[in-house]
Amino acid sequence: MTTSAFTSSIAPPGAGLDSGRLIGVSMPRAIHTSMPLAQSLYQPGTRTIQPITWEPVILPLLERLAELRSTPVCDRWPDADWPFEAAFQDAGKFTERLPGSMRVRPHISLADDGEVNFSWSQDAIQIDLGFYGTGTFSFFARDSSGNEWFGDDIPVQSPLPAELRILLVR
Amino acid sequence: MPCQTPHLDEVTTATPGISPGPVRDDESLLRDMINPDHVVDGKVRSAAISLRDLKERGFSVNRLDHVTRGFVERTIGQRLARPFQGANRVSEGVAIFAAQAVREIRDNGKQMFVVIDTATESNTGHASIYLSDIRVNESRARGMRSRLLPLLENRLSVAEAFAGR
Repeated sequence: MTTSAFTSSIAPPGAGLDSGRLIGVSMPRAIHTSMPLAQSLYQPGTRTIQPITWEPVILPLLERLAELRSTPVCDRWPDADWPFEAAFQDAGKFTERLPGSMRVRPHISLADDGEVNFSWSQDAIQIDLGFYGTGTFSFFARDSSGNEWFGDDIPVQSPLPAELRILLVR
Repeated sequence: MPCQTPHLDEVTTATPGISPGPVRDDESLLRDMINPDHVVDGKVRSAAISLRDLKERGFSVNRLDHVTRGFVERTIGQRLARPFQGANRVSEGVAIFAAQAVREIRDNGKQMFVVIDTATESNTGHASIYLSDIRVNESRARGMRSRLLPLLENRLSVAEAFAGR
């Protein structure tokens, strides 16, 4: 993760929000004031400051996760398994590792078995990746030539698998 | 919930006495589709089919020959009754596809999915789609799911699906 000096000199926007994590995702200080949903999930913790190019790509994904996570109980499917809190946290940690140069953004949705799912489907690239709150994720990916990749039990804290990074940024 | 090994035999019924019989290849299957739960921006999302359904619970479909239009409409109405993210859910109609299309999805010649008659007292036209090998790991199941999802792209209104019946 690249460190940028530009955000480190910005004063914290709110009392007690000098640094921390958003559902497991490190947030630059400058973002707090523009993300009320994200702020609501703020937890004190490790500070990691991201380069500015990372923000416009990754922040909407974090907001989407926060939005899904905050779905009122009365609005959830009655027969569905709601994701564990850990699944949202794992998804956040993974999102933090996505490249800012990513060409296509994932669609984030919830399956009725408690999965937080990321799907990329554009330009003949297909990626299906998900979290159940085990601290790991699995994925399937296919490129425009029909080449396929599979991954299981990958720790969310590990670097993004090289094949996924290549598919996402090329 | 205890994990039970599902019945995967396509030629016997899961519910003798209630069922109209095993699902024939030429039968049309229906699945109600909701935006944003299953479809967003006109495209079916991976999460529309849960991996647990494919491995344990069965991905529920209705057999057109054995379900009523009223039943399908009531099911959709129940789903739409709940808002989502402050916005209303919207029906995207029903996906319609032949049982044979599901059974013809193959990997190296091996059938990937089975279609099982799982009639219930309240819905004798209920059927379930499972992976033919439910022991595959998660990533393989995702790959198989990606082969099933395109069948959900062919959608009709409920009225169109039941036209002439």
